[in-house]
Amino acid sequence: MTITRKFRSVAWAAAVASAALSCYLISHRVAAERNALDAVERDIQLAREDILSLNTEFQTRSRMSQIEVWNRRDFTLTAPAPGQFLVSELALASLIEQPAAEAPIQQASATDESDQDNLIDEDVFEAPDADMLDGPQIQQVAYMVPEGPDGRPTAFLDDELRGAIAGEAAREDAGEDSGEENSDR
Amino acid sequence: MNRPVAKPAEVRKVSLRRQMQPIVQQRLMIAMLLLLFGVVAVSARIGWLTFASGGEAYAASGNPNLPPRADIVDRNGVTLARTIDAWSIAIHPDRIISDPEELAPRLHALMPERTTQEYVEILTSGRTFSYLRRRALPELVAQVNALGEPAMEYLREPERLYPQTNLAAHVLGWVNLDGEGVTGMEAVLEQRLMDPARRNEPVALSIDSRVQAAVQSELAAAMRRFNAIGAAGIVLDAHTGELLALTSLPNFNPNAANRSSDRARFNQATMGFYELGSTFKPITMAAAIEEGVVTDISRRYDAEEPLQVGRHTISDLHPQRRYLNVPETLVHSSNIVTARIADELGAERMQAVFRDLHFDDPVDFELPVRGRPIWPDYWARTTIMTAGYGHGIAITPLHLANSYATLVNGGVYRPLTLMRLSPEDVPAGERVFSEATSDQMRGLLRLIVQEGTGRNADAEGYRVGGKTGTAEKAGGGGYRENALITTFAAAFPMDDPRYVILIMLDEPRGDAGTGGASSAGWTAAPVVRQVVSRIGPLLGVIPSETRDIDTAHLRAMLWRPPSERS
Repeated sequence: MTITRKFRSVAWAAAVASAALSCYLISHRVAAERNALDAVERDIQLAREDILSLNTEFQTRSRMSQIEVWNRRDFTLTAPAPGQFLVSELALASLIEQPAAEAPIQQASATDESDQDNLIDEDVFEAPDADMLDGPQIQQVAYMVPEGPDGRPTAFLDDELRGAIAGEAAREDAGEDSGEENSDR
Repeated sequence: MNRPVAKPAEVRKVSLRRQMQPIVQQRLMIAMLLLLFGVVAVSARIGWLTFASGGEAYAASGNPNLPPRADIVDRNGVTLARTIDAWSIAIHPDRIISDPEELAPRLHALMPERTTQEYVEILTSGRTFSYLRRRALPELVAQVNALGEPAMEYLREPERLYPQTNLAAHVLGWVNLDGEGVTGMEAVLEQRLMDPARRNEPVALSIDSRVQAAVQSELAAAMRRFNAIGAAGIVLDAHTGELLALTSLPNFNPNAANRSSDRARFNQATMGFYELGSTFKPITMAAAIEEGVVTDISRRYDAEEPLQVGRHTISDLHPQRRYLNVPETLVHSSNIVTARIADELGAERMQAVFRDLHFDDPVDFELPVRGRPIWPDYWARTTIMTAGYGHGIAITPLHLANSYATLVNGGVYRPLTLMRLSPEDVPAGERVFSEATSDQMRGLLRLIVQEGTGRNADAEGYRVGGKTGTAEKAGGGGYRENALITTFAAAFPMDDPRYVILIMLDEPRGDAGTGGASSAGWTAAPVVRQVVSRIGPLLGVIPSETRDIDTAHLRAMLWRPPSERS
């Protein structure tokens, strides 16, 4: 009985002591946490002030008058001319004077002139020069008419035919000239 | 029971114990209560610290990011004024340990604003505290610290810094050492800048620092080239009244405002009243067209001979000696015809238009403006005639710039402002001219730049329209012929005028490049061309080689010598 009573007081003392100790530890822990938090906040604040002062320094160093000096002295920049502005994509495209690459396919066309005899160049029917006759003027000329209704080639103009035509023309010319002369007289 | 017989001494002891028992218990109780109270107090304190102190500590430190004074920024957010923590160097002369005779020369070498003798006096004064330098650079602080004098104190004090130095100095003004605004927007916005609730938010001005820089540097170049004693430049938004640039040269550095001269601090654009000369002619013409005095701009007026009115003779700078119509009058800047039209307009209607343009009031905007325009007391016939071409009435360049905005923006007068306006804050304004008159003036102003005295202002592709003004300065009992105020007031682009620009040079002298001419067409107009071609793209005005306002019908009215006819 006595022992339990005495032991109870010891137990109480121990309980109170441990409670006090744990309270103290908790408060200590809280204080430590708070200090750490304060330190972080101070760091953040310092960083903010740093950012602000660096930002200010940057802005002061890059002030308009300084940029002006660089533009004038070091870069010699001038205001852009109106020709350097384009109003639309079309204006941009029109700047290209020639196509950049050569066209791989070249197109040609020929029209059906078979029934247009009046278009035949009359120079062809001049009398050939005598000294030029030893060599053929035209090696080979082929004039193909696009497929007509009958699909028949109209002419093959080779040396022989050309010579014949030329000779005939010369003869006709001579005859006409003499005839005209006669009539004038 | 075998009870031992107590000895007399023991008996006494026991009886004593019995006697003491209540007292002991009482004392134990008191000690226990004290301990309990201590425990309660400690735990209460712990609880208090845990739950309450967090908020308390936060409240005590305040918002550390709240600046002591709000920043001032331009319309695009570029900082124009900011408060930073700067260093101050101070000394406690009573605690000094090194030899003053030795320390003083070293201080003088580092901070030469005081003589060695003055430093000796401070060091030997025995006072407890004395500033050596406020607003010191960190490098200087480090150098002074290296002297090793323990009586030195280095303080961090808030300081107002203007990162753009002398950019828009007259607009910003400056603060004194206690951080109170002295002049400029710093003084005007004092309440707003110091208001704790809004200090975090920077104040946005209408100034565009890029435009301001372009105007300032081109003006400075022109001032140097023509040896002018002063210059002013204004750029304003024709549709809102916002001032994008407001400059007056020479200017000062607000970071060291106390070291600038009075002349540099004088803002010519807002405080200088000038007779601005021929730049008034378009206003007179617009008034005459608006009031129905000029119903047909092709009507011709006599300009063969100088006009004699009383003792006054009105003559032209570039006499044409023939009859001139309205476009020709403006292109050749004829005083005679303008005077005739002003005469027909009459004093009443002319004053009404000038009053509508607020030429009789100080400029209506934020900055304090000293004095009032010089408004004639008595409007004699000659007063009307001379006022028609800008003599006898003196206004500030700001008045003129705003009246040009009214001329070209469709005829609506709006008060000027230095604060950035959101679209819904733009005032409705007061109608002065009709849309039709404004349209006609756009064409006429463009014609002056295409064909007349303003050719040098024609920034290619920007459709500039404007008018020159060359006025002799009044002084010494009359006008001084070789002391000129040259002005060019212009708007661009003329097909849809958005910005008005005004350049004024005080006493420019022509050089070889101008053929010795110092008139506005040769001195102020080229500045307008330079400035417009620099600021146009920044303000979203795209130059075009093909677009322009149609002035063919006006050109057709101009007489040309037979040799120039096509």
